[in-house]
Amino acid sequence: MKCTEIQNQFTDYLEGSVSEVANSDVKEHLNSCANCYQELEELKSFLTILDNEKLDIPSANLRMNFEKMLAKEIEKEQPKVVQLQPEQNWKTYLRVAASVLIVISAFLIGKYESNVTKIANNYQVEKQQVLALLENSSASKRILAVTNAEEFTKKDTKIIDALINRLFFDNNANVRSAAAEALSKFSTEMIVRDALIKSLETEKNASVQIELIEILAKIQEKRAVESMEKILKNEETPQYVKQQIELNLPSLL
Amino acid sequence: MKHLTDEEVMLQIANGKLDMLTILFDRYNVRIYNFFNKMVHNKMVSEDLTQDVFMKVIKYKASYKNKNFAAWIYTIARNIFSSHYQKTKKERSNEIDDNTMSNEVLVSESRQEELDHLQKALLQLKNSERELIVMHRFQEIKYEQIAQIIGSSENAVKVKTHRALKKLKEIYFQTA
Repeated sequence: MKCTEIQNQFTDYLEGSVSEVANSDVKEHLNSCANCYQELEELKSFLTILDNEKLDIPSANLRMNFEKMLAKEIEKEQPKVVQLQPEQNWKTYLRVAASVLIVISAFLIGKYESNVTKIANNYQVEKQQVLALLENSSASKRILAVTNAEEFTKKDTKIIDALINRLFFDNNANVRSAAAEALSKFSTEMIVRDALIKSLETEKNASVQIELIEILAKIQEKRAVESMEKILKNEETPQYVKQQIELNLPSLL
Repeated sequence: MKHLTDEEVMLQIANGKLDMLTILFDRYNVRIYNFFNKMVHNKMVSEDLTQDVFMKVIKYKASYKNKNFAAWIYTIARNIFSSHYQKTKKERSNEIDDNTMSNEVLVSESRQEELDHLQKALLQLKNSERELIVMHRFQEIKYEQIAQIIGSSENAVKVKTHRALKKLKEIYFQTA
């Protein structure tokens, strides 16, 4: 083995970190090579000097400055951490969202409620107007009132009563006819059906009779068959009324 | 807290627990300071550079990612030394001239003089040689880890360290 190769292993050799084979190689070489032996001795004494070197202790300034720096960095980081914390954001957003929701819903509820009362108020006003109109002395006004009464899709006993009243007692045939038509819209009500049948029995006016026959056939009121047959038998009944009955009666049988 | 490894502590710092850096400062400040002091032989500068290392640890905490902490912090220390060296190249060349002048009159009578002499010999080595001796002899960092720090193989580090040591010994005894 060459001297340089042996010398390259000196530090490991002195630390005892070379393999046994290499160790004996080095020992053998040292016995025969004075040059390398001297080199090793020099290195040994030099390493003693190196190893005597103690760690220098830094001044207190180092720690002081470090602590100052760290405190500054933590302070710098603090607002960022808060900003990045999702929980915090979440709650804040939730709070804002909740208050916005409350304001909006309060507004909407208020609006809705005012609408409801407005509609209800309108309904009441209109109903009063219709009911008043139904009693008006002018027949055309009463017809207008009856057609207006049709607009009340929601069943309202006051309106229905008023219409039935018109159907039975109005002097004007056109008003009675219009009332019958208006009442046909509320044919689901038993009181309306009864009124229509009864009206057919008592009605003398041909055009109103025809209107009633048509309505009763349309709403499939089987109880009206008896009244219709009675009208058919009546000799006074005009021919075109009988024809109307004969036309509609089969649908009820 | 004290039983955590350097790596565990560093991961917590990376996750934002900056105050944990105090633990790593306690473990490393003297070693890092001595590394710089051997490299530049100036206490004030070494303290400043040590401070820079811990600032960089915070600055680059996100890039740490589970490496060997000692290797990582020495990599930072080497980079800081390197940029310091580049910055003060001119001043330092004058300084070395002064040092070589004074070496001729230096006689190792007392222990302090002996240490000064060794330090001056160290400063005559190349940076790359000096840091190997500093890391291996003074900081007792294993060859394997030095290889990791300087980006070399363990065997290459062994050979280079031995050569640097031999060179240092020659400088030391020549001027003794």
